[in-house]
Amino acid sequence: MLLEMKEITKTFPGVVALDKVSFNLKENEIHALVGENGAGKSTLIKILGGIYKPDSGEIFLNGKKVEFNSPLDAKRHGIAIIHQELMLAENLSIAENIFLGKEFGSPLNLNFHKMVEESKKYLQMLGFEIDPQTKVSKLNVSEKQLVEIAKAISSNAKIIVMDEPTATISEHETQILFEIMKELKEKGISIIFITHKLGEVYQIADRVTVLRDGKLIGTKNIEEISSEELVKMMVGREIKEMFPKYNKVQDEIILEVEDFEVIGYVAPVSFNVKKGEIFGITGLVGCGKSELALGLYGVYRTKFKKFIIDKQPLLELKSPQQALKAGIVLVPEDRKSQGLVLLLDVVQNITLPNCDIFAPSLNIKWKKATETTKKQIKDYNIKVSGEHQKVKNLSGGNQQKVVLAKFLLKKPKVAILVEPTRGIDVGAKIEVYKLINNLANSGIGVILVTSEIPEITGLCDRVMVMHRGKMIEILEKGEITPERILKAGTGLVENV
Amino acid sequence: MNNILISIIRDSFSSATPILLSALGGTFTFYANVFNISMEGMMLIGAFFGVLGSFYFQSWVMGFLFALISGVVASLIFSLFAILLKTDEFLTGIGMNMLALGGTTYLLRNLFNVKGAFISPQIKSLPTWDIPGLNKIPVVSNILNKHPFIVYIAIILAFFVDFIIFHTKFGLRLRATGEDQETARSLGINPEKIKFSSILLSGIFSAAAGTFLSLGYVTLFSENMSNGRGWISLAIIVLVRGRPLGILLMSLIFGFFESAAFSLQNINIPSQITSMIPYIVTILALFIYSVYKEKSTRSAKKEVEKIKEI
Repeated sequence: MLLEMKEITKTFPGVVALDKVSFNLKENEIHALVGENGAGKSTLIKILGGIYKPDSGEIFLNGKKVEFNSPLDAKRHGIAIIHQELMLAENLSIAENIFLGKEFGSPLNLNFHKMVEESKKYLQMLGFEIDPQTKVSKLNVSEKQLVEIAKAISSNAKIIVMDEPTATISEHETQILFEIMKELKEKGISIIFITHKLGEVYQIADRVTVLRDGKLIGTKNIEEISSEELVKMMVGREIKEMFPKYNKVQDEIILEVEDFEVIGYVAPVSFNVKKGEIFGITGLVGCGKSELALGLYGVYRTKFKKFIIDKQPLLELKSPQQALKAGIVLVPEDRKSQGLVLLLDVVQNITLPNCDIFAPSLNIKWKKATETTKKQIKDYNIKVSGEHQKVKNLSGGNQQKVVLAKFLLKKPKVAILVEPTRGIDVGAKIEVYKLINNLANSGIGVILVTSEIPEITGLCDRVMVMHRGKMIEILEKGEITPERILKAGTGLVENV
Repeated sequence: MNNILISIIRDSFSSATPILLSALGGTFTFYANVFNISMEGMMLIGAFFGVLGSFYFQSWVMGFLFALISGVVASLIFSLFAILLKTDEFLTGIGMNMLALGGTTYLLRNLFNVKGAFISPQIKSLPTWDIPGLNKIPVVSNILNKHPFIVYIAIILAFFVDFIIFHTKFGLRLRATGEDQETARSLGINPEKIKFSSILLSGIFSAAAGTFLSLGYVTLFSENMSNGRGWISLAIIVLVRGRPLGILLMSLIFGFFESAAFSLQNINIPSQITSMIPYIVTILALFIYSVYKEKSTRSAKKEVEKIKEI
């Protein structure tokens, strides 16, 4: 066994990130590590890379016990990690990046010539023909990945960890990367490959390990496990009590679009949303779901044949102002930077986008704003010490409720919620879900953009699954199962 | 007329030297991505302690030594706050500059009992170099010969700093640190150490610039005698994006306009107007540069901004 991690436990304040997880890696192996968001994959990798220290558990390399106190320690033991956020100095050349920290030549006179020649050697091994003196900033993401790989082999890495390398590159580039991974394997380098795309697991991996909620679910040889079983291993949890659902879908259509294209991001899609409906949009990172949401809100450039909202056709959609006027609101993904002004209090935050209500003339009618806020706090069950508490000091769940409250004051016809439960605890999640139900029942069409599959299966009436900027299919009520969603979302089902 | 032109060109070297030196120091912090605006203050400190050492020991060597030590101490203070205590670099820089102005003025009044400027025959100025061979060529000799030796060293340093930044291990790691601190750290480079070295170098270079002001350019210390030169050097660094040879060129251009402005005072133009000239040139240079930069990056920028808006 090349690498063994035994019963690794790691806790963060309030969370058990890893609970006695064991993991091993053979020589000449590509080992896929899969699991949902928050399953503990990245914590495990960070422990292997020396970024975190485990609370308990042991790591063995070639049967010898090792302890990593720093990323450099792990690197010295031949472990290279290629993070999703690539670690490259953009304005230095490829050669300089590869040899940074292990330069050739004397300190006072570096041997750039040799570094360039050596870089060429490594890059050629990867089939990457480029002048090593090119600045890294000129490369695209997949080329930068190759530079990272060259960096890893130049430091004699025996184990390369790739954290979702295919999330941000195209299908074609993925295939090239896979060829390189196979060659590395033949050269005696083992690879730990993290991915969300099950199709890729079957294409490249020898074994697969599944983590869920910080626990090891199992390690299997790839021939021994069907994709249905794998999905079950990843998802399986009690869903009913987590997802209250009591919205009533009406017959009337509130939003209908035909051939709606987000230029450069999403190929034309057609769909409609009914009053009182919770319509899901899902897919993996980079599938275009957030771009579609932002497109519907007028942020990106779009084209469409038809765009009817509450029986009123929209002729053009060029700015969020137009979308707002038409009755569309968007609750953004990153509430801290896009949804709230953290240093202002609840009243001010709620007033800010609603100045037309509270400030019909020049001055803001604070009394009215405060009264409305009090009502909102009660209606949405926001836990605050008072309406003048600073938003910064609220919990994540309550912050999210403030965001919802302030947008809903606009009495929208369609509400687009992007990842509304990201980073909030389970209790608050359930409250947000109830809020979503209430929203729908007040006659709004709710579009829920999320990558959390349980949210889709638990809440949505219909769901659109996307993959690489295309709509794969729209699943109806009875068809929404995690298996169907994953199959469509990972590209195992091509356009139906 | 010819003589005036020769003296303007000759003086532009002296005017350029303090700016050149402090900008060369600042280029280290520029590449290390330390937001260092304290060149102005460090120059003033160097100028004062140069005079102090030279006066008490009646030796320019001691003056120079005192100045360099004061530069080291000043950069230690800066590093203590900016690196160890992690205060805001910009605020730390403002603090340093105000401390330098207030501190040197206070010491001037207390130690020498004078207001405004301190002049004394006991202050020994920096020696000038008579370059053999050069003194035989008529016009060139008038322009280039017998400057205080720091002038020549500063010009040589511009090439040397260029070599350090682009051809040595320290330079490569300096640039990598400034580019992406965490990447550097993951490769076993200590970014704090690199940043500290850059601040130290900047302090020493700025102090040397100050010594030239008080012991080379003139032989006296006056309150606030750095008079914005540290800021000009900062502007030049940003303008040429840290390239040492670009700094050399820009300093000489600035120096030329400064000495030209001096000469113009003789022909009935109010001195307030003439002394604005170098600064107007700086603003013009900044303007031209930013227009040029705007053009070349406009298309790329559009995409980025679109994404940022979201």
